[in-house]
Amino acid sequence: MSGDGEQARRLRSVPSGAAGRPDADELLHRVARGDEAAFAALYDAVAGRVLGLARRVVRDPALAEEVTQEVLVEVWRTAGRFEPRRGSASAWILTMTHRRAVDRVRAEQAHTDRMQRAAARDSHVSYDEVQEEVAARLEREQVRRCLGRLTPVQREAVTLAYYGGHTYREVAEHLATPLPTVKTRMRDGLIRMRDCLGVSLEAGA
Amino acid sequence: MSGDVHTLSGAYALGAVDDVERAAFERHLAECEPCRVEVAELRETATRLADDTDLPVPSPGLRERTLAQVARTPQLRNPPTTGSVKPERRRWRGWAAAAAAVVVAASGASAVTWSVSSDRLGQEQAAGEQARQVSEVLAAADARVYNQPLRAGGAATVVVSRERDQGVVLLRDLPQPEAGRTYQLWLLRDAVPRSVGLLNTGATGTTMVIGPVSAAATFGVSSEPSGGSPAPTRIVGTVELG
Ligand SMILES: [Zn+2]
Repeated sequence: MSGDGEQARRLRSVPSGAAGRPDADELLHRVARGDEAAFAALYDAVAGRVLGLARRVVRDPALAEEVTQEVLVEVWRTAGRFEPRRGSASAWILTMTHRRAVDRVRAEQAHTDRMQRAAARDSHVSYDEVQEEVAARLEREQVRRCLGRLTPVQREAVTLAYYGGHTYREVAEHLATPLPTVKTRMRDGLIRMRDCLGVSLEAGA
Repeated sequence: MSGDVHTLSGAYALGAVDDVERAAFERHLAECEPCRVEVAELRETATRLADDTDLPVPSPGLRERTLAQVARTPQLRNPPTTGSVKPERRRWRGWAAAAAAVVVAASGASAVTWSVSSDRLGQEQAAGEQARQVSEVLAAADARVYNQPLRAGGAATVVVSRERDQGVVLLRDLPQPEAGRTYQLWLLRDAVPRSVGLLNTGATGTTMVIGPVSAAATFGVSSEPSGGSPAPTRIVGTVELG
């Protein structure tokens, strides 16, 4: 505005999509019927998160790309087995990603403490991705806030398992804590996270 | 099954079991409805942990390789257990759904414009410079995100880095401004407003770098005569920063 010399300048318009984008569930349903275009759209929707999770667990960018490719090809191959009743498409895909990444890590038997290593920061955000980056940042912040509500021992058990790729037996050993205690910490911790995040399986549209 | 077996749901949802335990627990799941529901929810929860990772940009080569491999990979044909039943739509209540809505709204029907306050950036700087500023604010270690629907309709997201003394504002789906009016952006401290930007005529959304944010406690959007006002005359929504 002229008053203090500020002036908004239009640089770019996002083209209007008639009804927004189809979500991952819809895309996966089409992928199950052999729709390659839907697969490409699904790839664009989830590849960043798949790669992000794979990197966090395997700690190696090249290996993480391999895992990502394997997982997404597996998504294509087995899309018909996805059961919407049991959760969302993105949970299905990320569960598969986590499993595959953890398998790699366990196969390597790299028992250095992966939790201690800092993730390689990749803060590059392209011009087009800002909107999604903000949404992602919102999610991240909420996840952190909810993780912060866990007791320290719950948080330790949950993060060693999920990000570190350790089994609950390994976590119990590592912490010199009885197995049932560790199992309980993982369950109670996730339940607390679930309630904090407001995750609830609910039928209907 | 003993009562104890149910408590494996957490470790199972985290993928923290070995293959033998996984198979055993999946047999248990087949006959235990409460565990099935709990596992579905805890797995969804565990998946959200994946959101607390950096979002790398996959290389273009990865996309090509993956699509090429898919093109030559046959799909598993399952016996149709659910027949032609359309997959039931699931709704993840609460915040997750709201976050998804943010993305849809940002890329959906309403055109979103990208603007910058040009006094801070200079008229002729490349788009890359603004993108850099935005991503630096978003990546700042102290960045806080405030997200709120606006009274008049639409929603505002404000990301503030006090360290950088800058913020990023995303506005979307504001009501179409009346003829001759436009939206103006403000930061308020102790009820003293300072103009930080003006939307283009007719614009109902924007992404804008604002600053300095200093000790501002409130972000506001007002509807003003074209050209803007020295102080807000008709506030359409505010976001508390802190
Ligand atoms: Zn059970």
